[in-house]
Amino acid sequence: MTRRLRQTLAVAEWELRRCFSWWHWLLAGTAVALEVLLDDRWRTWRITGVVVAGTALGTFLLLEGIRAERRDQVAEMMASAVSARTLLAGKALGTALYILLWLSVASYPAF
Amino acid sequence: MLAGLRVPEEGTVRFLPPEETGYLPERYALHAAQPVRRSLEYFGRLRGLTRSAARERAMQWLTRLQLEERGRERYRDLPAAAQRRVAIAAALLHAPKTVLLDEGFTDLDPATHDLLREEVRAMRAGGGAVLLTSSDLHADERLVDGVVLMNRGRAILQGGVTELRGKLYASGAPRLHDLFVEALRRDDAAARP
Repeated sequence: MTRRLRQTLAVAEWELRRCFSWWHWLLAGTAVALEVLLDDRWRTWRITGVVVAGTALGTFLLLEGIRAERRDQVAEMMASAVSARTLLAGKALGTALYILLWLSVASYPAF
Repeated sequence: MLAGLRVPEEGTVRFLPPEETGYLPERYALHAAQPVRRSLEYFGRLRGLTRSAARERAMQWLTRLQLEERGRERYRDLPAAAQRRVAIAAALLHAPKTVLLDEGFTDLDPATHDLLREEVRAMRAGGGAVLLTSSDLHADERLVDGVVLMNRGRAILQGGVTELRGKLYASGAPRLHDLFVEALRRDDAAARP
């Protein structure tokens, strides 16, 4: 495995872990509650809601993470360890995995 | 440029890959909202360590810094001195061959100062290189082999410590610090119209 790939995976894992913040558990809890409370007439809305919420949250957490790194002044230490392109690729991969997780949750009722 | 943060406008800068270099910026910081141990592991992995090695080194460093009980705490919840120690650990965790310490010894508590000095000594003894930048002219002469004094972006005095000591007699300056001050004074005077 090349250095760049190892770094990309490390960043992706970090981002994925970071996504499981209290925001995630709040939304996931709401989704579960809706699953229990709403009957099948609301199925389409339920699925759409989970997809939109997951995608929006993933994107929000990605941007918030980038903003937090600048605010916390950790960007300089990061930049010396990993190239900007690798960092972005890792962040994008981690966020994409997170959104995929939401999509798989949303598609669960279809099975 | 030496930390790989900027591309030179001209000329070249050669440095080792990230696995073999360490960098402690003047405005150091780790991810504020994340647990300290996890942050250290992350930096270790970014610098080429495997997951298990990064975890092991993070624990070793936290133990060494007497912060093993606080590894689960968020970085921002640590006192300033502990934050500084953790940032030093993040820069040295992967046992780099070269390290750039930007104002590395500035505002350190005595215990952390000793710790970093020991690390620098150990790196020198092991054939490593440490580049220490400081605006404090009271350089620790026992710690450095060579000095470059910069003023307005130019090197105005450079050489080995032994060589510079030789210049002390010629300049009449009693200490290395006075030699630096004298060199700066002359450079500023020469720049005046």
